[in-house]
Amino acid sequence: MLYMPYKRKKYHHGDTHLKKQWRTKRRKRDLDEINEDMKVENAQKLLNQEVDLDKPGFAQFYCIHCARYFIDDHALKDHFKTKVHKRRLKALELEPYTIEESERAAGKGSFEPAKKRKIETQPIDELEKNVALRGIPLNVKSLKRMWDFQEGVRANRNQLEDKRFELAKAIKDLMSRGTDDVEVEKLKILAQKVKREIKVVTSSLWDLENKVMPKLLSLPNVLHTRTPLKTEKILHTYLDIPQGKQALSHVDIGNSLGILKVIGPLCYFLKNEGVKFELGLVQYLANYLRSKGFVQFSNPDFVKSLVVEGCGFDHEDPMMSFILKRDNSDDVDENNPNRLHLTGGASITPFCSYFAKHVLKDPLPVKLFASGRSYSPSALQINGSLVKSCQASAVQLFVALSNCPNVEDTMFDDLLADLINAYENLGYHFKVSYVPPSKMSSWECLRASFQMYSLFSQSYVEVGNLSMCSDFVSKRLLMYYQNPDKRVDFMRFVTGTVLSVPKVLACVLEDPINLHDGKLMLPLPAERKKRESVDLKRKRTKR
Amino acid sequence: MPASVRSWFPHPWREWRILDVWCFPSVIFKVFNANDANGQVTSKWREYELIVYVRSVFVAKSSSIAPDKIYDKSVLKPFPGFERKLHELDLNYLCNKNNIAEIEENVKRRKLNGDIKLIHELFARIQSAENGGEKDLLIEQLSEEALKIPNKLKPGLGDEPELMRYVGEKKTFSFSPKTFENLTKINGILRTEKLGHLTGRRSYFLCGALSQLEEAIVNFTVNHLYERGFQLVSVPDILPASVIEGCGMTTRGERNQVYRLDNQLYKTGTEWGDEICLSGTSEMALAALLAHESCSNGPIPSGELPLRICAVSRCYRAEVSSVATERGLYRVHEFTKVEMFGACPPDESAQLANELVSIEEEILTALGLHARVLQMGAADLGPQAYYKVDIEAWMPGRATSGSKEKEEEFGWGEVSSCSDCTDFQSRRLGIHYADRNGNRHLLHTVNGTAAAIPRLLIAILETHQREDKTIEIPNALRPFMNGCDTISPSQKVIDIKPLPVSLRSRS
Repeated sequence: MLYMPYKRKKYHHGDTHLKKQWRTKRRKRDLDEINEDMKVENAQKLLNQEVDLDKPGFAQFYCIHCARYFIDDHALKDHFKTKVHKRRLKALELEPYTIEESERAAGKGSFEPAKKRKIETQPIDELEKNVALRGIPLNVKSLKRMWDFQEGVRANRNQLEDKRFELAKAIKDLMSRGTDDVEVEKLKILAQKVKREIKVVTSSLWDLENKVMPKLLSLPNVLHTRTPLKTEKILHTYLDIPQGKQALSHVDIGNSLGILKVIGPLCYFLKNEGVKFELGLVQYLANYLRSKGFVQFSNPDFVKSLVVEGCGFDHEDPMMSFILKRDNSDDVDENNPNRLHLTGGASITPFCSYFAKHVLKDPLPVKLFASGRSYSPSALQINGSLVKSCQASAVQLFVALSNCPNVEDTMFDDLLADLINAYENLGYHFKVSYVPPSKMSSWECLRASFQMYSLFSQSYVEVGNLSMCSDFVSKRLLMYYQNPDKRVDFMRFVTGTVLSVPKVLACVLEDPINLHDGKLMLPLPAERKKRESVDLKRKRTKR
Repeated sequence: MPASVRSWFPHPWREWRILDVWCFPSVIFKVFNANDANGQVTSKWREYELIVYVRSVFVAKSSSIAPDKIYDKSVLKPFPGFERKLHELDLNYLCNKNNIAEIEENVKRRKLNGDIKLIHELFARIQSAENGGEKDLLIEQLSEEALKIPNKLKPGLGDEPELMRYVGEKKTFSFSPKTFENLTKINGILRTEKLGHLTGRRSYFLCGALSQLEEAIVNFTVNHLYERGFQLVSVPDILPASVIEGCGMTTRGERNQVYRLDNQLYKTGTEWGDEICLSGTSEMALAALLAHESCSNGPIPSGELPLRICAVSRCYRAEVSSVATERGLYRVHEFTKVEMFGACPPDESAQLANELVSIEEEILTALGLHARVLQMGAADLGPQAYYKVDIEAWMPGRATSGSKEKEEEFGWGEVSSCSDCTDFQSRRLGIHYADRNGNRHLLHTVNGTAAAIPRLLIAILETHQREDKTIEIPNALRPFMNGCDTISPSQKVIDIKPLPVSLRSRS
């Protein structure tokens, strides 16, 4: 007998007895709850959940809009194409009903129609996720569409060019045979038409490129697997957090000690011990890095927009780098976009300029450092302080590496260990942590941040950092190196501000342990020993 | 606030949640919307251009400050204490008819463009004018013109430089000394080529040993000055135009040496000269520091005088030169410099200037350089100097780079200078001291270069070269270079070559 499947008697989903309907056992999240989930901070939490062995796919593949877990990436992507999911997106378009709306309906206030929103499926693409995590206001999907359109136009133009080439060839053939003037004339008219068309298409292609390329250049670097998605991941801490409260900020303390004078947001002066602290700290780091085989550089402070953009910064943003007046640049031309910027020698840009459009012939790794100034308007605020100063004495390191991710990883770890050692010698409390993408620059794929504690603001302040760049910048600025077998390839590099003096000074001033007899104790090892012995004495006398 | 900006803000004000109000360049507001309606965008930000300043960071929602109050310009001072002080100009001297001839000659000899006759004309008009708007305008105009009049000249100063003495011995070579460019070419310790489109024209990288030598010179000089009782100060490099002008540099007009930030993007008030500049020498910042101190803490007590201050800083100069001999590191836009600055009562400034010159000579002697000290003529003085002493070092490589007759002309290169500015800067910036009886007086300021790195590097390398292009490091610097005594030409620092043509084109 032929197998007959069971024929359902009830045709509608949910057509069951009320008892079952009202059970909370299998209750899914309601639409207003999902609306709450869609808010960025919640969405981020839901999309990056901890591993939970009891949930499908260990809670790693979640659809926010349907509030469902899937077993793997494939299943999740398939789900996005289903009718259930699309129906759910449609249902979410309408703003949820609120108490305020009910009050309005009851005559309190006047009627406001519920708003409709456009709901899009959560980003599945790596790039989209990256852009979202970093908080860059960029719509990857529309950018992709623009890119596809541009490439379509380009293909169109190439076709036309081919056609013109064929026509030219045909005309030449006919001419050489010397026959049929009418045929040649026909072809010529056709060729002219094609030529005109090419002109139009090419100009529109240029327009498109002008629009699309800057956006493409603002796409960020890929994220390293070690980069934490949500919160900082602490790698190392040294000594305990300074305890207690500080009623005065470093500006007041420094002023009363006569070593610091902050004037407005742009200017500050260091005097006496303050200068010794600055010069001594920079020199200590220079000596330390030299002993680790680093080569010293003195870099120019100016850099052109070309390099600023190449390093993944917005070169037109006045808060990214100081932009100089046009008549100071070599080119007075009003429309020349290549302007002069002030970034300081102790920053990433001059190192990139050094290698840009050049091939490095030395065996890698090449380890460099520069001590000098670093200028950044982004931290500028009306109440001047050292933490947000826009001029800093700093030490920047730059290590050029071969194009191999493993080499980059091990070098990063080695450098991190070296820097931690250098910081420990100073004898201050600090912590090192990987920061989440939202706090990274677009050229970084991993950033380890060195932070010291400010007692006045009761928070950590980043005083130094080490970042991995992969080949993001070198591809843009054509920074090459030569293999032993004479092949050329893009270099990778690890760079970082080893230490920014004013920020360290700010944290040091706010901790009373560093002040002795109304004087700032210098952090040099010999001085530290003295301080420790003083502390011991103090402890003894207390007993 | 401009109406166009106001329209951006939804009202009422208090509902607007501003988390962070940033100040300064045309005021940038970063407004973070924690969540967007569809939950897609993490943060939104927008920038507004405002010409006014914002006092402090605030959260409008939680504070009761009316935002209009925050834009109160009177409480907002981007550079407090650095305002132009026009009222202290010496009008008694300028508006005295007996001085016209003297001032006119002074301006002419310095090749400046101040117009004393116009000042007198304005002065006469002010006297006859009635009180009111027109008179204020005239006074303003008079002050502007008076600012252009240079300092007095030291009596008996000629037009041409006058040799005072020589320092050290001229070194004789058994071979033809090489130029600095030649000495640094082989081992790549200096890069100046192919940088115009990357780091700007005339920019340079010092690599390896040369960079270390720079550090050593700075540390040696600072140590030396510290032992001589100088106070160390670390200075800002970004200053308002009012300070730069107060020190005697012009920031306007086509031919000026001052780098400025784009004033469409970064704004200050008229009190600060409307522009933000990069300092050309730390003298400017040091003068500004004294001005700030004597303005906020009252005049400097006479017990602290004379003040001897030194600072290490970067200097930015927009000057251009197409002279072939000034190629390479000789004239550059940015360099490190150790500057000496002194302030003293009026009758002591000549003595203090002499002291600075003798320190400059000491430093050059310690570096083993041969130099000559010149009393500069009126034609070479800036508007701020009462007189100026230049020290030129002998650069044997540059001397032989030209023809035999031009040896003297090419060989001497200015490495430091010292000017006595008398009360020129104090008047414009408001620097005072109090004598024993507590009366206010204007201070006299003096400044001198302790070490300007690029030219010192040229002089040192060219003087201490051996025939095989090895550079001997002067004894005084060795302790600052970990005991290293030579720079060898064979050790290449970084080996790079320009990109081959095949790799240059990019899709």
